[in-house]
Amino acid sequence: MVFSSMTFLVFFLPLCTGAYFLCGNRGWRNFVLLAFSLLFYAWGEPKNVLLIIAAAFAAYLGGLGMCRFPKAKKPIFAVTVVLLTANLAVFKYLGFLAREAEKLTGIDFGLHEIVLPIGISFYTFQILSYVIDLYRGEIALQKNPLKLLLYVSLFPQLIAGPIVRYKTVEIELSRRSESLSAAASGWRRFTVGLAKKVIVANKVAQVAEVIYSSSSGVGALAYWLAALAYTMQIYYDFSGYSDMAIGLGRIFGFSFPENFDYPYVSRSITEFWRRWHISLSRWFRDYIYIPLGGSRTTRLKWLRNLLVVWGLTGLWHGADWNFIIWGLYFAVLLAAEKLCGRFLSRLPGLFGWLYTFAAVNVSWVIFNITDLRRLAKVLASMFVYRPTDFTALVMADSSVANAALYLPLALVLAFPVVRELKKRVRVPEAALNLCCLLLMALSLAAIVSSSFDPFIYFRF
Amino acid sequence: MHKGNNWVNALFLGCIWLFLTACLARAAFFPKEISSEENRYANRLSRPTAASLLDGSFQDGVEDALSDQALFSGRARSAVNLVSSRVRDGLLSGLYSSQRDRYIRLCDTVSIFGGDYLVYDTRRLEDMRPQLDKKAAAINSFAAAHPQIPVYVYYIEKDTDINFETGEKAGAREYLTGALNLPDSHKAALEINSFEDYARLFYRTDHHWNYKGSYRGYLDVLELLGGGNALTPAGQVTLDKRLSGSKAIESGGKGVRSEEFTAYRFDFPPMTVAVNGVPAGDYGAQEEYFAGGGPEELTYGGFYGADYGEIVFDTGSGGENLLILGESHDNAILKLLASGFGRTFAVDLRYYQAQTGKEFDAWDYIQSNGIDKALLIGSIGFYLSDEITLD
Repeated sequence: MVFSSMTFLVFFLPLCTGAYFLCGNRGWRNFVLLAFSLLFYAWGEPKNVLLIIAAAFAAYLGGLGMCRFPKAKKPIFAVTVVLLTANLAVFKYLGFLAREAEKLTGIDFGLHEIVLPIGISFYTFQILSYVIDLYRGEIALQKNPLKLLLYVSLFPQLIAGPIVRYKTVEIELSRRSESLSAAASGWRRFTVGLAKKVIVANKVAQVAEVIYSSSSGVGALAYWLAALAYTMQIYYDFSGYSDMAIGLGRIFGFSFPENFDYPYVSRSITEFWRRWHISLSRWFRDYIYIPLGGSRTTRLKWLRNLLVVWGLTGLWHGADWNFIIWGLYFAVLLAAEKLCGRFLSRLPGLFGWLYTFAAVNVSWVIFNITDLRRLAKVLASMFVYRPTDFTALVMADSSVANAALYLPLALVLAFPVVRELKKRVRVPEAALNLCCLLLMALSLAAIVSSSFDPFIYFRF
Repeated sequence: MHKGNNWVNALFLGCIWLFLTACLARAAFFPKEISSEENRYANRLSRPTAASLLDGSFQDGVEDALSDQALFSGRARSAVNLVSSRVRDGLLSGLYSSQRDRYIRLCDTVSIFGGDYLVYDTRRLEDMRPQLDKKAAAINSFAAAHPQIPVYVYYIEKDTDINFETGEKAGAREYLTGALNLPDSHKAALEINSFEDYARLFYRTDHHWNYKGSYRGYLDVLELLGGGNALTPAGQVTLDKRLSGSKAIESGGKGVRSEEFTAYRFDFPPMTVAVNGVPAGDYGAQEEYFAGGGPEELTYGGFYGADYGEIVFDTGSGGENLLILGESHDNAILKLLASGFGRTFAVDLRYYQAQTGKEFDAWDYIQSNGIDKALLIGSIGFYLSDEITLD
């Protein structure tokens, strides 16, 4: 189930919030939240709900073992981490490895059919944060397995983040307060996220789709336009989802960390990664990069650390070569920035922004196109000028004309215009709520109209 | 927190919760049957089974049902489509007129050609061959099983049979008629050999033939069936209401893309009409529309008559009895054809069993109704459809 579906909005959400707020005490509220979280996951993945329960239970047992048997803490920790990582590896990477091995050896390993369970990368990283922090002594053991399962399966952040670490919600799992103002603010945040997804992201996506699916007449300008459209799509899609997650968390009394901070205003790639998918960058920084030695080591080791972390970041996003290339591309850019830091800082801000924005646009092209030959062709076409027959492009799918109208809007709103406006103008809560209702109505209209499915042979 | 804000927030959250719950209640307890904006049955919630839950079809069904049943969903769709069609037409009006001889795609199935004609893609013969072979075999065995009555086939070519950009024809008609073991005099077609042919004989926004096309079809069919006195138009009327046809709906431009609706007026001889065995006053609403009335929303089927499993016309003349196996294209000429026969039985096999409660048994039907001639009439959809079997 996804937040932008009618099933979530019309079926799941009213029932879940209704049942939750009807319950008086914390225990029952947690139980309702757990039951609905499992239903949320099972709706799309009926069988894989057992996998998430098993993963949470493994972490629970691992944690219990580490605390009960301090002498065996390290091996228990290692076994638990290996188990959880293996679970992710099997479902996410085994098919990819088998496919690659098949290319080399010609042997069919019969592993093409492994279906990736939704959200496995997110919930595995969350569970790992519990196990690692417990091992480090930064958090207390969670003795109640249901509470741990609630943390792992909590539906607002279950399938697309932000990656909420256990220590962030450790206290809130037992003691949190819900309020009308928090719920209203949470709902407003949810609505903004929903609108970002269904009004902006889904529309600009069409521009990229039409251009990438055109077989001829597409030149450099069109490919840059497609890259820009996809850059906007992925931002509004992902940050919209994070907004929805944070908003939903707020409704139920949780404070989830921010995941995006206007990443496209960045003037360097280093800054970009401080603003983009913040919870993932911090996870890798705290659990991989720093334990490897971070940047306070020899230049060679630092370079190794960078390559390892960004190789893994790429792999985390998907099991394909383009994701690895995408990760390493950022490793190279970050290394270059570090090495040429002084030079870059002397350049005008606009240049920094232009370089960063262009580099990020290119990165999303690598991210988007899994077929390496096609990727190479598209990248080459972006840098070798060839004219574009825009008329033919529009004629191939005229809906692109409407969709393109959303691009300027997307570009403007990718900058902190609204945030600055809110700082300067105090808007009464009633007006905010009214705007939110309007935005909700528009979003619902966009969702139901996307299922427009006329049938012409119907009793005229 | 200010107390006033608490009230504001409570009202805000309450409104949203009540609205979403009302949508759910509507879907669960008071579902609508028809999605009128899309001319189809509305999806409704179904009971889950273990299998449908595990394979996800139940969940997909819930999403479809909630999309259709949510309060104001129909109006929301119409509004979104209206706005986006207007915006698109506004942006691309120059392109529509400068690229009149090129297809401009509006949605997966519909393009604009010739400035303002909504057209379908040309079908590929390779894709159609298996179905055409099946249908030709079925028609051949139908004719062989009923040697006592002559069987006639009329094929209506349309936009799916020709690429207007290249002038290349799909060849489905030639392929089908070539495979039929019928005398040449028993086969005929409305041929479309250019965009000009199409534009003259078909609607701009609907997939049916217009008054000129259907009248031409009527004359062709009459000649095919052995001649007879054709009814001539007593006049030509352009209605006040405009037609926003099936392709306008399909491309999301209902109400935005529309056209004038003109029809010939005929002096039909008196005849009784029975629909699915029940006497009906008339078929279609031609006279009502000519008199300035008729249903508010003008459609091809609303004007000429809708699709039914069985429609029987009886002029009481004691003339020959005609069986017509067809689809919606024949709606426009049923009364015309019926005027020249004793009794005319129009059967639409897509609906026959569901609406009459009987299986269509061709032999029994022909015997019990004293059928003298059988006509199969339709466009490519008719000859490809699995629902239209003659077994």
